[in-house]
Formats: sequence, structure tokens, C-alpha cells
Amino acid sequence: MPIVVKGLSFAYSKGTPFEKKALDCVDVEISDGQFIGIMGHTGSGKSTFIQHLNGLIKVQSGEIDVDGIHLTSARRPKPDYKKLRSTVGMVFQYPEYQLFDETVIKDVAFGPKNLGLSKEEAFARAAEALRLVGLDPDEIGERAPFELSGGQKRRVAIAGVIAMRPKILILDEPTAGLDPYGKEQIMSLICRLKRECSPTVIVISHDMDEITRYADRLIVFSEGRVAFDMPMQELFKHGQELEAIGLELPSCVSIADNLRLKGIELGDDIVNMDGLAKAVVKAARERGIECGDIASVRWYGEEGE
Amino acid sequence: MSTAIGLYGVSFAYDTEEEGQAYALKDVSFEIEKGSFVAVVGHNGSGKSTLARLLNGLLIPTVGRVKVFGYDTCDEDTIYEIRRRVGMVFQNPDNQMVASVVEDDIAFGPENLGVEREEIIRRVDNALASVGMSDYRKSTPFRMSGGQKQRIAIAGALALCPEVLVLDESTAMLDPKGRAEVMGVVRRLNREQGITVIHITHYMEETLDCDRVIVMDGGSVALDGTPSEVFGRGEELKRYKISPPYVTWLADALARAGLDIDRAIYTREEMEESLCRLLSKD
Repeated sequence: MPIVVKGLSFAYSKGTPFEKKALDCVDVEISDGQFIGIMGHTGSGKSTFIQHLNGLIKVQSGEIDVDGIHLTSARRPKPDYKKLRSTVGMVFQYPEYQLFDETVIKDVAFGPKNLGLSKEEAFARAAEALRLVGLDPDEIGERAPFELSGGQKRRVAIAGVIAMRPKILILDEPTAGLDPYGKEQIMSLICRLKRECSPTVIVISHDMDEITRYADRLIVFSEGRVAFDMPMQELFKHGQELEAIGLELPSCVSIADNLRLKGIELGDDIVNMDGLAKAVVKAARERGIECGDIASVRWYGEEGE
Repeated sequence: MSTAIGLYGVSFAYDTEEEGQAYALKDVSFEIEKGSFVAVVGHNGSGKSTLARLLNGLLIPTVGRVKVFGYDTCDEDTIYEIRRRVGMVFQNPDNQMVASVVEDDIAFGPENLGVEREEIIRRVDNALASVGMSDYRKSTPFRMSGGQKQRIAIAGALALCPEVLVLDESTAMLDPKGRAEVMGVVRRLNREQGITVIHITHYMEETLDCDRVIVMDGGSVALDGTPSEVFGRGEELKRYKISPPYVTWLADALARAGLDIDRAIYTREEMEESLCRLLSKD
């Protein structure tokens, strides 16, 4: 079942002199199986928005439906928060800072245990989750999380969320602070998790070039509102408005736009590097230049998987 | 041109419980010219941060010598002179604040050196002006954005009148706006005040207008040259797990498809020009 958000507004420190509006009448619908990118500069409301989706922030006004669970400002009936949190997995920024247990396997099993599973079941799920994020539970399961490298720690933290088998996976800047190779690996991991475990994925990102390689829809927040929510081909025609709210066009789109000004038309449906590469190949062939096909533009080849 | 910092056959080993000594740097030698803007890149574990800490004597080489304006970092008599001349800004903006009011935070360094009050006030003024934060002198750093906090951290280093600034992934935790703020400030300090900058980063876009890019891999210098020299070495970069800007990815893919595009392209403008040239032919 999809996620439906209607008229959601929220203010921090409501009713005090420090009251600060964070969300202002937000309407969003997200269907099952989508890969959503959420963008917006710091303070635009995107983190407040995602924290509503698994009940970390209680609704002040408006309503939310997540996989059949209804969230409103009413106290009763109380929503099934346990079910909500196993349905919507949330990976925060720098999740590796939240590892706490003595061993990796115990840390990852913490979530499923809290869902009420037996110790054996919880550990089995934890082992499965570790394998899903590309770690060997036999090798690192009994080690202390703090002995691992930064990239491994982040994977363990993601495994802790995956162990609850969420249908919807939300990640807040999952590649922040990683080196380029680590970024590539985490983004490939997220694609694998989408295929094998959590069909709906929502990622907050600051990097247009990165997110357009993966997402099939972008939702842009500004000043607590949804500023843009439309197909990317349409969205990137609003370059100036995006710039006004602190977002740059993906470099592939600005390249295509600038070439258009010089009289070379590559088409107006380019949203990422793959699209630009294919358009260049097509344009070259139309001009009688021979060249091979480009399936996708990657740097590390298949080993990034 | 004179040398600001020189490394001569430097190796550094951390003591570990299990395996004895683990070398994080192996036989590294290079000199950094005064007034230059140098980027250091490398994947996690390549030795970048160890390198940064050797540049002002936070770490002392296990083997070899680090010389800062001629002073050896292993000489305890001159280590404070070295630390004053080489300011450092670290990754996490929240871990570098020592006071709850901006001007106190910036005054902390010179106060510790026993600088005169009048001089401290002058330095705080200058430092805040240099990072564009003069309006925030009486504010508290804790409610600021990441970019503002890092600019305050830079101002704190500037209050010691350094000749070199080492930024150890100082932009890694910032959003694009914060990164642009910090890079703008650092570039201006380099151009207008002649401060030598050594910028350690994962963001390749930040290295494009540097004088020099040093690529670290496995504790050694793998590549060392201008951005165009370095980003033209596609296959080697892949081996060192370095990723150039996306434009270079595109150039690489187009060149491999057999199109007449230079693989070393790393700016949008160059890409636009090359595509224009390619597609204007009839």
C-alpha cells in the first residue's frame, strides 16, 4: 500500500516564543516500489518530513497513511507504532555513531528482538541482514562494532534496520562523509536492498548528480513546502527556480542546456549521465560518426556492486 | 619559490596490540611551495589524515623528517612555533569549539600564547572579517550551520597568524552551501593573503582549481601533478579507488565508445567545447 500524506503541517517548540514552522501543508503520495529522492537545502523541512513517516514525530495537523496505518493528531485510537516501525526502516545520517552493543550480531539483532522475536529468530535475521549488506556474519558477527572500518560500520548500522525487514526504507544522506568509492558501494547496496528486501526506497540527498543516477522521482522541499514534485524531465526545465532555492541542476542537464544555446540539440528528456551519454551517441551517429553503445556511465565497473 | 613544508623519506607506524607496528605512511617525500593551494585525495585508509597530522607535529615521523619553514617537527624547542605557523581545521565542526561565544572561541589561541589584549582584539576582528563572520562576534557557535561553524574554526586558526592552513576533510560533513562558503573563504585567504593551503578532501570538484593534486594510496604518494595531469590517468585512478568528477566519467565512457573526446576532461566547460567540436562536424 502506498504512502499518502495530506495537509501535513508541523512547528517545533509550538506555543513558545521559539516556535518555528518546519512543514507547511505538505501533500505527497508515494506508490509502492518507487525510488524517491528528497532534496532541499538545510532547514527546508525534509528531515522533519521523513521523521513523520515512521512516527518519530507525532502529527500536529494533517494526516498520514503508511501501509494501512493511519496517523493523525488525535490521541485515540493509538496507531500501532510497533508495526509502523517494522514497516518503515529509518537510517539516520552517520548511522555508525548509533552502534552501541558489544558485538556486531547483538547490535543488529536489537531491532528484531524489540519486535518481540525470540533470541534465535532475532539472531537468524541479524545474520541474514549482515549477508544482505555484504558482510560475513561468521567473520565479523562476534567482533566489537568499534573495531570495524568506517564503511563497515555504516553497513552494520544499515543491517540493523534491514533486520526488521521494512517494506519501506528511508535513508537520510546515506553517503555523507564517505570517500567516492564508499559512496558508490553504498548506493549499489541500496539498489540491491530495494530489489531483495525493501521495495520502496526514500533517500535524502544533497548531490543532484548522484541521486539522478538512481531515483525515479525527485521531491524538492523548500521552506517547509513541497516546491517541486513532477517528472524529472519537467523539473529540470525549472533551473532558475531551483537555483533560487539553493539547488543546482545536474551537470548533465546544464551541459545539454548550454549545447542547445550553441545550436546543438540533444533532446530535452536528459536527466542523468546515462541519458546524456546516449543522446551524444545518437547525435554522433546522425552525423555519420561511428561509435559503440554506452549502456551506462560508471567509473568503477561492476565491482562497485 | 621557497618551500613551506617538506617531507623527506617519511614513514609513520601506529602501534597496535595485535600486529605490532602498522605502517600508515611509507617513505613519503615531497615539498609544498609557499603560497600554493594543494589538494590531497585518497580513499579511506590511504594515509591522508596521518599525513595531515604530521604536517604540524601532532604526529612525529617514525622514520624520516618533516620540516616546516626549516624547523624539524621532532625538535621540541620549536614545535610551538611550527604549530603557530601551521593551523589545522578538522572534519567535525562540533568538535572544535572551545567557548560558547564566538569571539572568546577565536581569542582562545592567542590568549594561550600570552598575546597582548589590544592585539588579540585586533586579531579577532581581522580573523572574523577574513571569514565573513564579523556580524557574529557575540553569537554562540552552537546554533550555527555547519558551514558557519567551520568558518569560525578557520578564524580560530587565523588568529594565530598562520602561514599554512591544513584542512583535514573540513568540508566532508557540510551541505553544498556550507562547502561553497568554506571553499570560498579558503580560496580568498590563499589568493589575497598568500596563505599556503593543504586541503584534504573526498570532493573532487574542490580540487579542480588547485595548483596541485596529490593522490595517496596505501600510505604512499601514488600521483602528484596538476588537476589535468592527475585526472587524465583514468585507469590508475580506478586502481587507487579515486573517482574524478562526473564529467570525467562521461568523457571516459564516450572515449571508450570510440568518440573523439579527451579522457582527461574534468570541467563542464571543456566537455561542452569538446561536444560542440565533435557534433558540429558534418
